Amino acid sequence: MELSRLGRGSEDMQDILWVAVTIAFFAIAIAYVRFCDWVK
Amino acid sequence: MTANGWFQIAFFLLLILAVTKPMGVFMARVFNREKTFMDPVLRPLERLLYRVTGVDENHEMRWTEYAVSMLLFSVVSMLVLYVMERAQAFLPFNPQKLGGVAPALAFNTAASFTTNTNWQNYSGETTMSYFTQMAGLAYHNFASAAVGIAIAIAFIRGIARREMETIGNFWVDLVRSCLWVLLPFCIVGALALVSQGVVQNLKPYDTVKLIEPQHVPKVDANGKPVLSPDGKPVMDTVTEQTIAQGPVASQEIIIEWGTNGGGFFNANSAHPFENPTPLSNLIELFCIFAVSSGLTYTLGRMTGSPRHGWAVWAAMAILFLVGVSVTYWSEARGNPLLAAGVNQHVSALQSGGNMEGKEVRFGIANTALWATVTTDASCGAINGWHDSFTPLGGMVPLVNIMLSEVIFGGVGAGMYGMLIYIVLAVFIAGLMVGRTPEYLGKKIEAYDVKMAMLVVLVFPLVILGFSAISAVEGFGTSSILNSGPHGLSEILYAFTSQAGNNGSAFGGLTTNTLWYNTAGGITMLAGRFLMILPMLAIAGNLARKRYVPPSLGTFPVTTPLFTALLIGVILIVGALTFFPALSLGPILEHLLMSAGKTF
Repeated sequence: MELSRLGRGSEDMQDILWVAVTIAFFAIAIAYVRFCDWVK
Repeated sequence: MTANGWFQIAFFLLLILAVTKPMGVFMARVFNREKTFMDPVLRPLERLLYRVTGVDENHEMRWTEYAVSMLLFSVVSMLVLYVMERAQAFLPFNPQKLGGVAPALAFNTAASFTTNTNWQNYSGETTMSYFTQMAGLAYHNFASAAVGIAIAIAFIRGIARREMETIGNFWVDLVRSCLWVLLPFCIVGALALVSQGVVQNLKPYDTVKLIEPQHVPKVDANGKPVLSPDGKPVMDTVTEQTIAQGPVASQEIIIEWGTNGGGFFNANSAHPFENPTPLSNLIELFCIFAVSSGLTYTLGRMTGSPRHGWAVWAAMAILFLVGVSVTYWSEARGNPLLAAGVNQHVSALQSGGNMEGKEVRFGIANTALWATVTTDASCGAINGWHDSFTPLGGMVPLVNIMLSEVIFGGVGAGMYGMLIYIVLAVFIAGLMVGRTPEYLGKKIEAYDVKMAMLVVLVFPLVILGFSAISAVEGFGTSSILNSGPHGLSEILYAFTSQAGNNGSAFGGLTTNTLWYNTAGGITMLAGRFLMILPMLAIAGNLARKRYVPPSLGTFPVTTPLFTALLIGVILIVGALTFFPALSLGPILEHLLMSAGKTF
């Protein structure tokens, strides 16, 4: 029971991590749009 | 090689040639908002969608707004798919009671389908529920294809427009791509596939008794053989087989029409339920190239230079023919290291050549043709195993992707990728004659070339960077199942396929690991979006420019000389970038095989 709860907690942390990675990538991409517009 | 094989390849190309103008005219009318025969049905639906979503279809966007809209759409779609995969155990249409997809795999798959790659570190029938396949993956097959088409059209508008700040409306282009270009053809195509035997149902998998029980080595949960105390493999007796099925036809058609590639089943279009007959094979092949080929005519029509569109088509066709010829020749030649008594000659009773990893119902020619088409087009669906190809035969699919998949290419992606090469070709031609480069009346200036270089550089950076790390670090090399240069080829192919948003693979690499799921996901996202953004910047810049009438010093872009220059630029950029890696992989493997060395 304890181990399965740990497993679920670990997977919740992983979910947060992957969502954060995804959002971070697209935030960088939006910043890249600004950069490409600025470099003109 | 046989005359029949060459005929089939030539017939396919003629079919593509025949569909190019009608498809191109149709798409030009759709995106120029001219009347089409589908308007009575689709226009009311389109207006309803805009009313529900609050989109002003007459609002035009600068390239920055267009790009940000595309990114926001993609990130939301990707996150929704991620949640769907993780929660699929609690969602409907899961008769096999499949559990949630593991987090790292869910991230990689979400990145994969959002970017039109459809790279699959999993086996579809044992991992994804029907709900995830339909509402998640099939949705993305449409959405990502529509995004690609929208970007290509925005770029073409940038070339065609004069002294304008805007390049269109992303939401309108997205909706029109889905409603006019993708959905109607997919409905008809799916029914055509069903007529050939492609399954389409929501039944749970069937279990059938085998006529003859099979004795197979027992494996543990990790797929490793179970050994007895004396070290011998423990054998298992299998008396039943599970027949996977599902809503395959509706997904199969958009896999090809939208150049997605992600099969419903692990065996992809080699599976008899995905691709049962030679006719279904031809239909699926045709679907892979149809839209991309049509976009060359759309380019010509929307820019007022149809001959230029045909010049671009010719460059693509020539490169395609070279690729398929090399692949067909290499596979038909067979494996020179097989024992002298093995008959690899073609006859009435056998296809001959290297039939390892190939389906007997397709043979050498159609498998070589499919491998070339799917890697030219950023599709990635397969009807034979690329890992089983001969070294040179397998090198062609790899090189096709390394050339940025501009040989027809993915829906939209092939066109905008090719337009970058055109910008470079025109720039080089201008330098050679000492004039400011011009493309269809627009001067190509420093900013355009800077952005083009950003596009060209991202691609090899992610491929070679991640391949190098994977080839030296333990977390990368532990996944290799083939030693020698083929092992390197597998790593190189994996990252090339993901960066090019292709999705096919050399199958001997275990990529469902934390490293490959993470690195692969980032590669796919970078290979798609970090290349699209500078392209849109070029589009926006071109739209603002004044039209300059052609003069004596203008390099014409409608002639065979232009086609030859374009082919040269594509090959030189690709070769210079990737030849060192290729020489350590497939080229070395071929030379060693010729010298009789195996691994």
